[in-house]
Amino acid sequence: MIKYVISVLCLTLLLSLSGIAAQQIEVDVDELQTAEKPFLWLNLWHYHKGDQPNWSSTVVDDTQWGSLNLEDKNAVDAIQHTGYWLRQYITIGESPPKHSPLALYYTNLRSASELYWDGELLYRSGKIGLTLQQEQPGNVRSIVHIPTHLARAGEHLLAIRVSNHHDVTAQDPPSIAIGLYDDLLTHRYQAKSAASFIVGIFLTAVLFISLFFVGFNRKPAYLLFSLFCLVQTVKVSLVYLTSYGELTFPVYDLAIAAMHLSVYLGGLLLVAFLLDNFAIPNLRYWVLGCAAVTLVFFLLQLRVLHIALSIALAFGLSIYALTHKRKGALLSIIGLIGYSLFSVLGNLKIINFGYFVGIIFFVVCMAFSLGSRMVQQTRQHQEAILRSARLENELLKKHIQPHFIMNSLMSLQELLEDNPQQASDFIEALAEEFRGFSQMAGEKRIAIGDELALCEAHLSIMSHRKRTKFTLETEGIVGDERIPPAIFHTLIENGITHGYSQQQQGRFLLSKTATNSGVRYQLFNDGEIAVPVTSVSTATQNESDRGTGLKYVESRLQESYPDAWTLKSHAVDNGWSVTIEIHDNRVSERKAS
Amino acid sequence: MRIIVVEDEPLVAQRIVRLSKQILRSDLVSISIQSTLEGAINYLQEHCIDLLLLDLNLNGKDGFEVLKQAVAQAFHTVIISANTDKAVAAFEFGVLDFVSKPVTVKRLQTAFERYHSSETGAARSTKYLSIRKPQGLTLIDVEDIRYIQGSGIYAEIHLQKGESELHDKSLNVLESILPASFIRIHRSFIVNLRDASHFRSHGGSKYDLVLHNAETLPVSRTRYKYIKHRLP
Repeated sequence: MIKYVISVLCLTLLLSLSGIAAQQIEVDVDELQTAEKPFLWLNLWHYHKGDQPNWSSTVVDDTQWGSLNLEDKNAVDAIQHTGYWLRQYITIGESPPKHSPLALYYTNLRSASELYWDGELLYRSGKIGLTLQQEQPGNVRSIVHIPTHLARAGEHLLAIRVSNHHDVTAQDPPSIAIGLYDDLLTHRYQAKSAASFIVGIFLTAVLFISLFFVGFNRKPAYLLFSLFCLVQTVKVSLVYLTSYGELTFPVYDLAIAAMHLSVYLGGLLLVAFLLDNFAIPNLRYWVLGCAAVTLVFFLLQLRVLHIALSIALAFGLSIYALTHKRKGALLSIIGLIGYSLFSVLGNLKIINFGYFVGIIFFVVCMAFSLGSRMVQQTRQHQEAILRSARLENELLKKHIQPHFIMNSLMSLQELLEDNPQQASDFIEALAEEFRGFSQMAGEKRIAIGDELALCEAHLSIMSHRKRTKFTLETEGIVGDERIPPAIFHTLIENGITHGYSQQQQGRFLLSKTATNSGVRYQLFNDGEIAVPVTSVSTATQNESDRGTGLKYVESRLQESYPDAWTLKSHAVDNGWSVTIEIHDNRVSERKAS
Repeated sequence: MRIIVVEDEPLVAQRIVRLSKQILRSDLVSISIQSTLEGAINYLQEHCIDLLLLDLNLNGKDGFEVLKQAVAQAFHTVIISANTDKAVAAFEFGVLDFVSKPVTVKRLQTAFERYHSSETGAARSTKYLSIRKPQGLTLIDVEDIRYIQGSGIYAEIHLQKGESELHDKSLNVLESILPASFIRIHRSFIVNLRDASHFRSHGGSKYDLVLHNAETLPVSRTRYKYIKHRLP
């Protein structure tokens, strides 16, 4: 590609320097075939505005016509007419072989045109009309095959009739070249396959990231990133279509507008994605601000500046994320560096579609970052499920642990002989507790009313077994608060086990108070404070035994209120107290749900 | 028989007492319930008992420390517990029996019979003997014992290294909890068969048992045949 550009530049430079009658060009098929010069730009023309039917003819004297260099800045003035003609003489050094015909390539002969070769109509783009209504716009570009019998060695005349009723304010002068038909087609197909490849990559990214969003995590960042990739898909398609495709003029103009729009959208989506991905504070204001800036840039048509600004902002956000230890920040920076680098290389025409290669590089970096984060989340999720299963298992095990069941059964045996009425009450309480356990086993949170019923059942069982009157009072509890299952039950169980070896009565008090950051539950019991018996030194055992119950409670709290709780278990005046604080503003919302 | 029940569940304790009375009838001299460890220790300091029926889980405290303390004393210990998985460990510490809850009459009766039986414990798995010393409890691995000599209500345990320790249990009680490799060769001696070498005759059917370290122990006439049969 770069070779073509350089050769064309050299040629035009040479021609303009030498001052040769420029509207004449020599085509050497051999030279064209040696890849160095696959086509020649035809820039210098005899020009005449207006329209005469015989201007296509070889006998017309065009020496008095004006001269037009299509690369000149003032070329724009020459084309802003409803009609004009271009004529140029082409000398073919040697007849091209049959298998390798010559072809003309043009763009922007808007809006309709006719190409004449030695006075014969060679190609018609659209339909030239005398009025706007009569005229049909033609293709924005085409490759026009010159039959071999017309392109024999010798001098030929290329005359082009252009009519522009549709867009007399056109900004882009035409480009016209002559070259080998095969090479021109190859050039176009290369671009097409590159574009298709890039589109494929972007579409895959769109698909995958949308799947992430729909099926895995409804994080706006995923949606934004997916949209960003979608916009790139559209943009690269439009770039191909407008640069290589055979669009007709009104569609072409729409495509150009859409492509420009996609530049703004792409920049905005990039920044919005990073804002959400890195959880930047005041997210909404940032997004709104960026949208407003984008709108202004759009209205002022500052495309390149917008690209530069969005990349700069993206860098800024990524650096902020890096300094605030956000995940994926480094990858984002690497991706952006690649993005910028490839864009520059693309702009310098060193890499075809360099800008898009840059975006692909960025997308790959971000996809890797999002993917690895997803893997991490999946793992955490699985761990959470495992933890839940383990807790459920623990809860069920608690309820069938032999110490509890066997002692209950043996107590029951004794009651059956000693006091059948009490035995009946005892069985009722046992049934009540079993029912409660099996109902809440699979739940993560239950109504506190159910929990209290379970506690009452347990206290009733233990009242029988221990011949101690246990009571439970509550303060400040409504009844529909949601809490993890069996936590107070476990604490009460602990309290009875460790606190009542001799007393005839036992009192538990569960109170709930609101705190600044959530709620506080306090369970007090008036049991003996377990003083380790030094002679048997059970202190450590004591602690760890009390510990198994507490560990269950802690695991449950962590499951329901990750890192937003504290638990304190300590001796107080005339008893023992366990305080659970849940620092969670959403507690009330959860309650509602 | 004098029994103490150490159990923190009143109904369970009541049931054990009821069943014990039912089984032992007039053999039962006294039976007392203690619901706490401290109460049990105090009781034992003031009373002489024959059998301790012990729950391994007292008010949330692990019963093994209690158990080590109990098995160091003269009386036999029977564990009554819901946690059957502790049985193996309990036997290693030299308990007479392990009865799982809920206790049935038949099972408790077997435990009492084991107490009365003078047979050596054929399948005992005692691994340690707990010894009370001024500085606290010490566990002796039964494999370290060469022989045990009875001295009144105590027993003098002779170890491989040549040291000896006093144990509160009588030879009779020890005999019923020690593994099968320990046999009674004399009114006053229990020997670890592994350390026995050969007999030495004094004529007139009087024999001594010579140990690997050349120590000699008397063998009673009535047991000679049985021991000869079992000597490796």
